[in-house]
Amino acid sequence: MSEKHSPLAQFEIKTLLPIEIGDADISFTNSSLFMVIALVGVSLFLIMGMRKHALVPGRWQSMAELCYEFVAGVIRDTVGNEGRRYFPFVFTLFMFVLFGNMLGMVPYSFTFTSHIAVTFAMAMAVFVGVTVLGFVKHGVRFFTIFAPPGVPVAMWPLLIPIEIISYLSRPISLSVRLFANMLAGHTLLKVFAGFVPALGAIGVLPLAFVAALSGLEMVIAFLQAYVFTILTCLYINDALHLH
Amino acid sequence: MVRPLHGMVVAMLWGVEAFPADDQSMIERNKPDSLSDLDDRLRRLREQEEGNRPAAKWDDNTRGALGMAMRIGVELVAAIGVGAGIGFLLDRWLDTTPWLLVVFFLLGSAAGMMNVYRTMLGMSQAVGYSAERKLTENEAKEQKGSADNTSGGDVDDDNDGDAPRKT
Repeated sequence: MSEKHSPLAQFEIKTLLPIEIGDADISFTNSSLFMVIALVGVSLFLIMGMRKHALVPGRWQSMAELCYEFVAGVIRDTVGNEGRRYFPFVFTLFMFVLFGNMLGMVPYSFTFTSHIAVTFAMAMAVFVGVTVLGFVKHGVRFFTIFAPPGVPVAMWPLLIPIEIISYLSRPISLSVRLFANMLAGHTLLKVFAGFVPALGAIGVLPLAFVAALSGLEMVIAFLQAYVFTILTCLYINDALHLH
Repeated sequence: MVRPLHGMVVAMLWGVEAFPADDQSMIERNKPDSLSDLDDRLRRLREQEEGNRPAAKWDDNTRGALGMAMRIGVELVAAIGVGAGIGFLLDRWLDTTPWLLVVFFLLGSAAGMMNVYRTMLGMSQAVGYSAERKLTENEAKEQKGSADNTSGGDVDDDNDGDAPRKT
């Protein structure tokens, strides 16, 4: 099997426009290209969808409103009324991840959410933002998040390190979940697609399986965007309401 | 507190213009009134919903077992990885080679177990044992909320969505 047909070839980063500032390589790659496409796609989807501001929405406007109401509902359910001011951030994150995942389902496209560099950067932004938010809201009292209420002081030396590790593992689990789901799903699709020409006439079976798997991947693409969003909301909720 | 004030203004306008000049003005006045009435009812419903909302709840029923398994695995491994990483770095810094790695690996495992436990409870990732506390609080609130609805009173102890239903 040639290198071109490797199931992992789809995740290769290709430099489209080499840019180097000092020692830093900030080239415009296919990953950057698809991020720009996602950004433009989201903007067009929302701006063009809402252009008419009809009282009775058309199809496009209703899709845009559906996205808005979905994220608003998630925030209301997890954070409550105070969560409203974080809506722009959460909505941007959701739409970006969703479009990234969905763009990855287009044949010959590149899935930028399948790279840990991208998802970890987003997770770190959430993590740092939420930590700063907690300190701004509660000051030094934010540290009480590490000392569970109702636990005897004698247990603190054991529990506080555990809680701190648990807290620090948040960005890791947040980013790894998204990236691993995307990577595993797309690799699996490619592996099964590779069976189709190799098996000849019986190749119809893996073909049917790939078709079914594509549907599942669509669901996962949405679900992972949803999970990323809801976890962000839960973290914001934790920072706003200590215990 | 915009709503009751708004209602009062409408009532005052009605009081001032108690004698309609003709049918046309009657219709004109009726229209905004019914609209604001609808607004009122919508807002009241929304506030009621707000009061009864289950706070910070992760709805696991919407996702499949595969997603759940994936989530559990990631939670466990992430915490162990962070623990081992901290141990390794501290060891390199303090020159105590295997010991801190061992200690922090164990702590990381404990943190991973705790993450999994919290995830399985379906609660927020709130650090601490607040998961159980929040659960019972929510249940109490929900029960109280349903009791409220039958009795018609409003004894919502929530600090925000406190909707006075006087009208």
